[in-house]
Amino acid sequence: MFRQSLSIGIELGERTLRVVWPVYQPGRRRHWQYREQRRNQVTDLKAWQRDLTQLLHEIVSPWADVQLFLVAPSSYVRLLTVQSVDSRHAFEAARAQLPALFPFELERAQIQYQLCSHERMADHVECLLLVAASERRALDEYLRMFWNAGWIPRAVLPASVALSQLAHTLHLPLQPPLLLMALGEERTTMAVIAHGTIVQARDVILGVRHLAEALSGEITINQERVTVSHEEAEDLLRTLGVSGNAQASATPPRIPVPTYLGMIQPLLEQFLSELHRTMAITEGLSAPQQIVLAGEALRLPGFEHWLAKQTGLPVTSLRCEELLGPEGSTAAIACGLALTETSAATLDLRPRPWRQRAALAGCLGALWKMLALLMLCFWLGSGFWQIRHRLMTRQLHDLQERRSRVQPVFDLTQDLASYTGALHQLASQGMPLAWFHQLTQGFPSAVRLTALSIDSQHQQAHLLAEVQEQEQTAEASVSAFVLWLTHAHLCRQVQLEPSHHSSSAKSVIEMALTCQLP
Amino acid sequence: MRLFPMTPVQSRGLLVGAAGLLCLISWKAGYQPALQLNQREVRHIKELRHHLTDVETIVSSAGGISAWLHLNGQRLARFRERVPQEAQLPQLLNRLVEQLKMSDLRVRNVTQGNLEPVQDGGTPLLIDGLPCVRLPLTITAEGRYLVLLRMMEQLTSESFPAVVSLQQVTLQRKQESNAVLDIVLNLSLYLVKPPSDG
Repeated sequence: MFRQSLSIGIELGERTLRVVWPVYQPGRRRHWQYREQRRNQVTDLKAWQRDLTQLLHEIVSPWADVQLFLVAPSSYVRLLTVQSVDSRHAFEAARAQLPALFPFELERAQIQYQLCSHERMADHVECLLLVAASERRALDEYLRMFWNAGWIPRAVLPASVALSQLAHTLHLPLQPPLLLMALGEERTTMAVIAHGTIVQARDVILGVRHLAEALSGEITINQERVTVSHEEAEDLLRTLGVSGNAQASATPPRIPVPTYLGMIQPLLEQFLSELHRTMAITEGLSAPQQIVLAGEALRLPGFEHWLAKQTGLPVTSLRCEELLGPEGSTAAIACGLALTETSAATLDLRPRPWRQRAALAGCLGALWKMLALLMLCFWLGSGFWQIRHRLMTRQLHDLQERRSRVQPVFDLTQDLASYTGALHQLASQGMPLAWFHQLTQGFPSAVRLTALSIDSQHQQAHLLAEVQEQEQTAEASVSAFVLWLTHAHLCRQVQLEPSHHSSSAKSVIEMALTCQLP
Repeated sequence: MRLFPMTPVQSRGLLVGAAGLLCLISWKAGYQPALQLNQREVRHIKELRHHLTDVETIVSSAGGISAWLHLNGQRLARFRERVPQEAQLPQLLNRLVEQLKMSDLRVRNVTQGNLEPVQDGGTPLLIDGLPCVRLPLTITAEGRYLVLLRMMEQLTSESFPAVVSLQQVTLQRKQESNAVLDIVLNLSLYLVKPPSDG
């Protein structure tokens, strides 16, 4: 689930699915695996999704992080030299040249640029750009098929880029310039490579299927009607190839060789015409000095010889046996896709919405893994706390044993505390006796208490007193008395009632006050 | 991870939701309770150890657990004596009157009110699980201030077999010339009421 992502190259044919993926052995050694699946129902989209899912499920776990490298349905690649004020404006300058180069409208094309090099001149920058283009609608449909089947395409590359990657990996001598050609089921990829870089590449809708279709159907031979199925036509192609040499076959073909050759001849001529057209487009760049064949062409007997004869150029083959074994020797494009490193997939033709969806899916994938990891951490943490809980339970058990030995002490302490609290509560309901003692200490000699009433419930005291004139006037003694009551914390909020001179002695003042107890 | 027939965003969104939910459940039902339990246990152990250390120190300084229990058992018994049961009220009043007679106060009258329950913050105060009641007493007497103080000290001291609280004190000088006071004391005596049979 948290392992490194797996890069899988997929070549999607109408009748065959081809996948190539790496297998890592101890010591990070990598070798390649190849799987090919023939398809039965070729028209049903759901059947296609089912076939793909079945094939991929056999090779990767549903939890594996898979990066699918796909080949674009049809693509064009061109090396351009553009001049602009700076390298940032090179793409805009290149865009102006594109309508003349590609066979479809730019508005309907998905275009991708790769800046190969740039050189500063006196007043401009000369940039060498590799431009890849594909029809957007076909790309959208193609990507949607994968997306709806639950797969995230990591990159959609031109077939020529995959072929170039394979040529580099297999150390094919790329000097002098050569034409790399892969004949597929539905199309043929032709790429002119010079100095290790694609100069010009295009996909031609002409493949083995078209040759087989030309042979299949009802034909009349010597006034006899013969029906040739698609499978039989494919077998004839594998047996007779393009030379019509039937020696290799154990049983004589159902169609006479001249008839056979006559049926495929128009397509071979078309093929040659497309080949010449591709080589002619290279214009001022060096013309290819040799042709390297790859793909299904290698299974057609006599194709190399025929091509060499027709073009006058030496023809060699590019086989993937070294990487994929004899079974996958013709899976050049799928192999090249699997070999493409993620960082090298700069000519990725996915339209922006698909990139955004892939990014969103990637974020969600990372998020759920993080959450799963977090959940794992929680459970590990829970396990840790459980272990700690057991240790602490033991500690607690020991302490409880110690406590049980001194339990009577605890019980008695609790009883004592309860009684002490209750007695304190009861004692606090009444008047503290200390107040009366405090009143006797330091009571002013000029004051003579005549009545005292204390109410503990209302926390109130009422005093009646006579104040004599001694060292100071009686009025001053009244004030001093009130101050003393406050400072000695005997009373607060003292309210002095109007005082008056005694009727018996003029020097005596009768006073009354009410105050709150502290 | 691919869940068919969903698109990658749908399947991964579902996984994010499920993982988030499981994460939340793991936190709420697994980690958090375990952590809280541990924190409670740590606190409990700390408190228990602290109490045990205190108790064991006190007990050992008292000369062992038996000595400590004996000493404090006596203390508790004294506390219990200070809040007698309602049945002991006649003896208690006799003791009070004797105490008053022994003092230099001239007691003119002692009246008692009805027993009323003692409240503690709106609920009945319980001592040893029994409800505490108060008996209001009014003592009318005459005597000097210091004599009154001495008498009140004796009543509120631990030697008196009940808790007494002074509710209201009214002192009035009897004659202008001497220091004898007319005294009205409102006291409360506290008792516990045993559970009524049936």
